[in-house]
Amino acid sequence: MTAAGAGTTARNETDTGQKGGWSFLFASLGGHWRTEGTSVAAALAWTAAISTYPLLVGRAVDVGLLSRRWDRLGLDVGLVAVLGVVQGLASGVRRRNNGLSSRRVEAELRKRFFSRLLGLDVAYHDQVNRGQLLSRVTNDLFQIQAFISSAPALIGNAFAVATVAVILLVLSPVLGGVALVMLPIIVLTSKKYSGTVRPALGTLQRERGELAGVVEEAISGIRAVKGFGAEGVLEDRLGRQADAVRDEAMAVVRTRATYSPYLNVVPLVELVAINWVGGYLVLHHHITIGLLLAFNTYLVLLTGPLQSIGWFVVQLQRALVSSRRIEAIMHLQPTITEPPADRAVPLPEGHGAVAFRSVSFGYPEAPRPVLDDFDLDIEGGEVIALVGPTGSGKSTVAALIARLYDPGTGSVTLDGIDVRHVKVAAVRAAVGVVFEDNFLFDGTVADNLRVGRAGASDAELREAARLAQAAEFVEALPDGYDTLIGERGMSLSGGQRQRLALARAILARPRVLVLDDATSAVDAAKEREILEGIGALMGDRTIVIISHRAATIALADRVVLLDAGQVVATGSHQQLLRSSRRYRQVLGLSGGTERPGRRQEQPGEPGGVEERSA
Amino acid sequence: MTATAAAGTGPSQQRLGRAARQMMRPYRGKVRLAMVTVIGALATTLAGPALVEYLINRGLVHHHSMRVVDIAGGAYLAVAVASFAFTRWQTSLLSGTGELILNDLRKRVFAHLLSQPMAFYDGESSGQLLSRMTADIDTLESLVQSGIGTFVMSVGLFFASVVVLVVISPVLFLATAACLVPIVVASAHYRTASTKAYRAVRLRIGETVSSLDEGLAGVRVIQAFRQEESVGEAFDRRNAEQLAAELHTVRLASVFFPKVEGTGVLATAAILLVGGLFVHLHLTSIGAVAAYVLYVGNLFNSIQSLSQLFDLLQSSGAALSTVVTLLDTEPTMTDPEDPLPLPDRGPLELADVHFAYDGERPVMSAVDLEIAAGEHVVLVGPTGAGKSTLAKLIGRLYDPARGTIRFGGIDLRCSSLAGLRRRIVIVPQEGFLFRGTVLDNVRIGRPGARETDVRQAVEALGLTDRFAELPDGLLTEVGERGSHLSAGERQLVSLVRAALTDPAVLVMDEATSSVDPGTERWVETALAKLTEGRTTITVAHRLTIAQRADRVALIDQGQVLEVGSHDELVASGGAYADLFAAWQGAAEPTR
Repeated sequence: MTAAGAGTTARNETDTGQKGGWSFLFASLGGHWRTEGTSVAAALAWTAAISTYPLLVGRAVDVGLLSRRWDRLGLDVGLVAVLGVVQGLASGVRRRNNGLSSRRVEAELRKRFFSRLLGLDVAYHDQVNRGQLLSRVTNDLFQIQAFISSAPALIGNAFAVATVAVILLVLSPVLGGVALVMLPIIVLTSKKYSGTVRPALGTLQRERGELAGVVEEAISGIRAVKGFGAEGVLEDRLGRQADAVRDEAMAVVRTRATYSPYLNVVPLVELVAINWVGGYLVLHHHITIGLLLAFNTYLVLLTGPLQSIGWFVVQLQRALVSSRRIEAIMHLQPTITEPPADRAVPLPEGHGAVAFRSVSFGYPEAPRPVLDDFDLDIEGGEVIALVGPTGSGKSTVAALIARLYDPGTGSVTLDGIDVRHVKVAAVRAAVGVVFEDNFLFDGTVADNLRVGRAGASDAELREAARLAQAAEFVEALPDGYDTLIGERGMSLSGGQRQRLALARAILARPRVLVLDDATSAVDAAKEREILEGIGALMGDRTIVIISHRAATIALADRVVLLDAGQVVATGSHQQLLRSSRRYRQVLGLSGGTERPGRRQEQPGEPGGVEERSA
Repeated sequence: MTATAAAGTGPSQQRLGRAARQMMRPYRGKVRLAMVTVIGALATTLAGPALVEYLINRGLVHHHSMRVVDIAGGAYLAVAVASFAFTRWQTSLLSGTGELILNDLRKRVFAHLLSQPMAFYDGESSGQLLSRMTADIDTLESLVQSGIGTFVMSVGLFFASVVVLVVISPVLFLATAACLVPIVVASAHYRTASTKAYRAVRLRIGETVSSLDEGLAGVRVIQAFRQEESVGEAFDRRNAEQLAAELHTVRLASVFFPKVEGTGVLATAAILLVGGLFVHLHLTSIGAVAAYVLYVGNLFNSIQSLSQLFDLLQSSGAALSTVVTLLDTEPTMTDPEDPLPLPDRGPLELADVHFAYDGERPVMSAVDLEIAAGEHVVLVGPTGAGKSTLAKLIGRLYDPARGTIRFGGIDLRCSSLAGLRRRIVIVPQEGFLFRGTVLDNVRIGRPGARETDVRQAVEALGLTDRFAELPDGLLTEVGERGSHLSAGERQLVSLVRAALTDPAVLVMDEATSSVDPGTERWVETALAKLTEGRTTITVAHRLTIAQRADRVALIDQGQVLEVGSHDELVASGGAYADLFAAWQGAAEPTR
């Protein structure tokens, strides 16, 4: 069920990623194994080079300088120089390849994440916190990128540790054993460290998402903030959330301060052990000074790789936590899905007949369903008005026709076919919805109109604008139809935006046009011209008008009165005015909204909706 | 500041340094302690080799002394313990203090953002602003969490190694320095190029965030018009641009750092050669060359560690620079030094007011209007005439380009903004709700108001029963963007907010979302009680409301065409009379 689905997914988002993430992390590298593999190979070559380097330098000093054999010195210096070139090249190849693979993986995930979000149904977006989603795109993907880009160097380090361990055991099993007795401690500590730091990292990521949520809200609601001078309140709010982030970050710092010193001190303790034990072994002539020196050199070489383990542990956990958080969204399945290919039915020719059969729809956390066993038949070509109190389910009916939601039970049919059996794109092409909050894209006026129909000619564009009463103001804009609008462009008034949204829908030539409070910001004179224009144009197409304005409603062939998710009355405006007390109530024509005074002077204005006392 | 304006070089290094020092100032004590632990940790790093040398030379080679072995072993153990302690303190002090500093930074950047006037938000993409507060500061946090210790230690080790090298052999150090010259030259070039490249990445991130934010905000329309693909493609383009910017940094780094590493090793080879020559010429001892070579290893190790961190360091530097650029944007609307208090009541006077959003195309020109205390004036006119702009000017969301707006005889610009907002409140009736309860949302009107104050405000507007109908009354959670409440209920919350502020002047935008008359009744009653006795300026989208106002101002093309009571204007037969006639005609049902 749509509604239930939306609810579960919304809850999943609080998942802090306590477990798992491995498979997602690995899968995200798919297609980049070659680059990442090249980087690992280069890292191994690099490790080999830097491991050989002390040996060569040692030999150059011992043989070349101490024995004053200048020819040998020359040879070793030459070898060191070659090694330098190898090391440089290997480092370049490693950097370049892990840079490429990590950034590409990140960009790919970002793309998939966005396209997944766009595919999730409106019911999901109604309830989701945008800041949390934004934070996943920036912060969580960055954590995954940082891990992937550092993994080759860390693999190189692990290789160095393993190689050196073997060399040490071969050189002296006893002393080697003493040096390596610490390795299991590292493994155990790392394991404990991972387990402890992960929950804190998970909470930290979530709190960061919440913080992004507060910022996002403040920026989108900046007009309300400024209008009330509510800056202080929001600063407090952000302050509390920033403190929550800080507290979690501090918890991570404390965990690091607890465990990382153990990992850091291990190589030092190894050095202490081999020098102390080794000292005695030298004194008792079990080993040579040279061997002890070699052990020292090798253990110093290991210090870096061993100390990087602590960093690795944390970065891996960060990447896993973030993978879980990304995965949680990627695994959400759109509840509005295409019909199976073999069962998809093309929409037959028709004039936009719509039928609702026992439709129920509700949000899981809402106390009662929005629509409850709802039945409605709209004939093709009919102009129908949906009227009802706020929250009666009118807008849900509109969204169900365009299949922006799916009903929990029952079915919605368009020209006789269940909308779930038709390709989603076909349904949405057949149904044009104009919302009250009309979103305009960043781009020119023409770009925005062509959202309705990409191939529309300039003449069609102008015609649609004319019908929506938008042509006049568009032509007065500095660049006419090429004027930039949207976030970066000209700011338009509410009425202007509504008319553009309307023109966009007209241009789409849908067989069902749904106007969901679409002309609320347009004055009544304009609204009437608009509706009459559309009526003429649409001819045999269905128009669904959602409104509270009596003058608007009166233009409909038939009016349907909704209340509490059910149809309570249908008929013409005049019929309902006469027969339904509830209808008169909803339109404010009886029961307490009658006012003395001016209303009496203008009987031609039956709707009291826009009445506002002063 | 726009994205393109910020795309330049950004603030200077000196400015960034000053900003960093300023952020650290409150934590001077902790920073100093952290430096002590860094020095301690460095000392333990450098002490190890010295102890091994002591063990071998004194204990094993010359004396064969078990005592020396024990002393060296014991001392080394002590060094290990000290290192353990220093690492622990260093982690909590460096990262812990870093977190405190970032906590301040978040609050400061946010407060700075909110202190910007509306004009700033018109010109700035919200994705960029979001990105400053989230992606950029989070990057700094990554540095604080996982890089700062290594960074500070590496820098310390670098300088310690230089000192040691100079002490061991000044002559050889000159040779080493000669090898460093190409690196220094290359880094100067690299630094310029990479600073620009990393900064470009930050701005690209902002663009991607914008794209994402826009996609989420418009998801309903995108789906209804099947724009998933084209919106997805637009996002992909931004995404690809971000990727290209990031790959540019990767390329720069993957050419530069190999040069540094290779040069480091080549330098060692050169030192061995030069050292051999010097030994041959008896300019230096063999021991010195051997020790020198080992310490040069330290020097290049530190550079090596820094290069591992480099990406994070540069990203953080760039993030800091974009954040500092934002902090350096002076709010164009600031409080005067000695703000004048606004009187409790008074007339509003607009004299010769001019305004243009972009500074060029005038939206308001030469507007004169006087509104008496307690008067209700309705602004009418065609869409785009400038009604809303005039309302925003009265509420001082913008300052006029020319002319003055006075309340009680005092120019609004002479008052503090906080003082102004207590007297003049702008009520967007499509009440924007923040996550939290109804109570939280009402309190936005007056921070610190007690629950009883809120209840009084609700009661004063006659809404106690209406709010009691909500599942948890005033404690009902409103959901994301107020989605748990109906449009009418959101309007009611907005009105109670205003009542709680108790201003002298209300500037309102007539709500365009239509509400059923059931809720409308509550809204009307509440409005009537709210506006009683207060100066009210309403931007009307329909004319019904104009008939009941004290006066109507007809705005067209940024000018006040006519002012007067509804009846007067209709009687005079001017533009308003025409408008009203047209509206009235249209309001009659014809079918």
